[in-house]
Amino acid sequence: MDSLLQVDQLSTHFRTPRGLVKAVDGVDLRLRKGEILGIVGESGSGKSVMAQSLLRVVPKSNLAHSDGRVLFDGTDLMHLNEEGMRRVRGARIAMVTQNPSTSLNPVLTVGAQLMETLRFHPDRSPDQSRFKERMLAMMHEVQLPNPAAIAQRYPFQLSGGMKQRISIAMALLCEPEILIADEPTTALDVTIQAQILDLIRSLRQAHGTSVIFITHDLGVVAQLCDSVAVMYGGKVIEYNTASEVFRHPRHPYTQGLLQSNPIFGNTRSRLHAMPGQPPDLAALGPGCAFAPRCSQAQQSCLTTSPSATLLDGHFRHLCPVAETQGAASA
Amino acid sequence: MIEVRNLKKHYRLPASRWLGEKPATLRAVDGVSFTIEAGETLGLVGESGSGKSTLGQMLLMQTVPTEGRIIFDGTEVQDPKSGGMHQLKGKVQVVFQDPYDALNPRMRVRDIIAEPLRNLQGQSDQEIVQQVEAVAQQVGLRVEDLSKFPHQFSGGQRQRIGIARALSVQPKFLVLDEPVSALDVSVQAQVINLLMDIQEQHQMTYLFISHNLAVVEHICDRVLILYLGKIAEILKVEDLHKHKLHPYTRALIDSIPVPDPARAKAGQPLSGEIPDPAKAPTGCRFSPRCTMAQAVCKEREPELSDLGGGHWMACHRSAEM
Repeated sequence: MDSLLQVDQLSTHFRTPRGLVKAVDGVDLRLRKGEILGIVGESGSGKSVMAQSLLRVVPKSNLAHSDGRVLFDGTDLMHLNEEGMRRVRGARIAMVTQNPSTSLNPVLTVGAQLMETLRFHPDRSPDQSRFKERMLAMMHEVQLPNPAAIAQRYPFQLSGGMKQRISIAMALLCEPEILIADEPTTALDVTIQAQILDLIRSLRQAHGTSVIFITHDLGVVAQLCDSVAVMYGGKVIEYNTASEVFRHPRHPYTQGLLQSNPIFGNTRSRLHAMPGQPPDLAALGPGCAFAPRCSQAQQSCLTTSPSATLLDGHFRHLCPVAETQGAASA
Repeated sequence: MIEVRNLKKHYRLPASRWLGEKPATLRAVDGVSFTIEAGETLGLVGESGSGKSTLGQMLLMQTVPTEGRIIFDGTEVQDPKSGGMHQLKGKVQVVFQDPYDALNPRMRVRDIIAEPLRNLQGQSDQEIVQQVEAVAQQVGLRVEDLSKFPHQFSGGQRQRIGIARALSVQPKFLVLDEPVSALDVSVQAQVINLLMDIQEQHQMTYLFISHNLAVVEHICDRVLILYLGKIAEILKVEDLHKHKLHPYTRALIDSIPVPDPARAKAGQPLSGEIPDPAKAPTGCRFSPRCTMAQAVCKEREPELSDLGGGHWMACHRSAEM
């Protein structure tokens, strides 16, 4: 009940020459105030489209439909008009994407782009005379050295880490309640990644911002997130607190993922490799998308899609195997 | 098997005469010496801008060194003008990072794998077909896959095609330039295991370029840590767990996010960013970001010194660790 964001049965399907692609298919999520929720999945699992669907910025060209319920502060975003959505997007729910080189405008100084964000959302920061002050304060907060000088530079004059800090500053300028970060550290070196993760932690601490952090890196999730939703083939197949997911993974896919992740400390050892390839979303059968790769798959897994199993609270599992394991460990 | 002596690659940068600038020199790789033993995997680790890809390209003679020598299997590799490429032909191959960019989209898999063999000449068409099918099987591709085009495969399968192409001429030495960085975790493990199997079967020698120390630790025997074109440290992977480490290596290890929520990260992340290689700091190049730096570190560049047991470090403070 104390959810800031409640996502029910979110689905986004695309029409393609090869058939209907269910990029996101019946996703349920809850986000509390100040919570960092990790969305983990491999390429094609639907995690980015899920994030885009929340803000209704899914590419429209071959969109079949995008529906469900996204309850944010009492309003269903899926039924909000475009003007209402415009007030939410970038102001109350802001997004940082993977590649800051493509998300920043190359022909404007970063300062001009930051100011533009403030001007675009007058309801979030009414005092025009203090825009510049606000911008410099935010640049300082994301630990950019010498904000006044950097504000006058163009994106190409900044390093990848600095550009990502600018993107984060831009996202935070209007003091959003939710920050959606879509693989914000994937393109960065590990040392810079560690700095950005520290920054996100301290921002949550200072402002109580809720964060949806999308990544494929299990280490990042473990070090940053309170709860984790694991996606596979457009569905959330495991959803639990971070400590539970890492300590007692219940879905066979989550178990396999954790085992195949190379961990520092295991010198020259073979890795547990999951067989097969990620699924082709245009050619999904009626059964579980993971069944062809699953060592514990039962006959029914190949023919019927697993139904959601509610474990404790709202944490769900979409797998009969996970259900029995949940019962065993409970 | 491979000996590299004082290898350098400097690039002259265009100067703006209008601003009265002097032409700057970018020292991408600046005096690097090391050896790779036969059958060994040497990891080459560093951040972007450390020079690791340039170094890999020089070993392939795709980039001509400014200075220094490369001795391959007892003979010195000449620069391409005097036949360096020809000398390495068939002995050295490369697997690239991005399986989406590295394969010609208009060629069938069969032809992609056969291309290095055809370039080598001297084999009949039938021998080539046999060899292609043999390596395809070795990397886990099916015979029917050979008639397909790259776009019909997922990232992991494409990387298998890239590996098959590299193996087709039965090279002795493979440069693996971030071969699993673009792959998903579940597929990454398959490819790492495949590379380890191939090495064992054919006694191959690998140079494994990566920014991921956890992956390097799984597949490599020794690691070379590069920072701004200089070797910071060379050590056995087991020694990565020792107390005595170059501060940069230590920082890289501390930056790895541990996939266990119960194990909090160790200390503060490394501050600052790798500087522009054209404006490398004086003294030790790592000193501006180093927590252990003293006055001497800013003045004098440390020598790479032997700490025994195959452990080499370039740090003024190595004795105090």
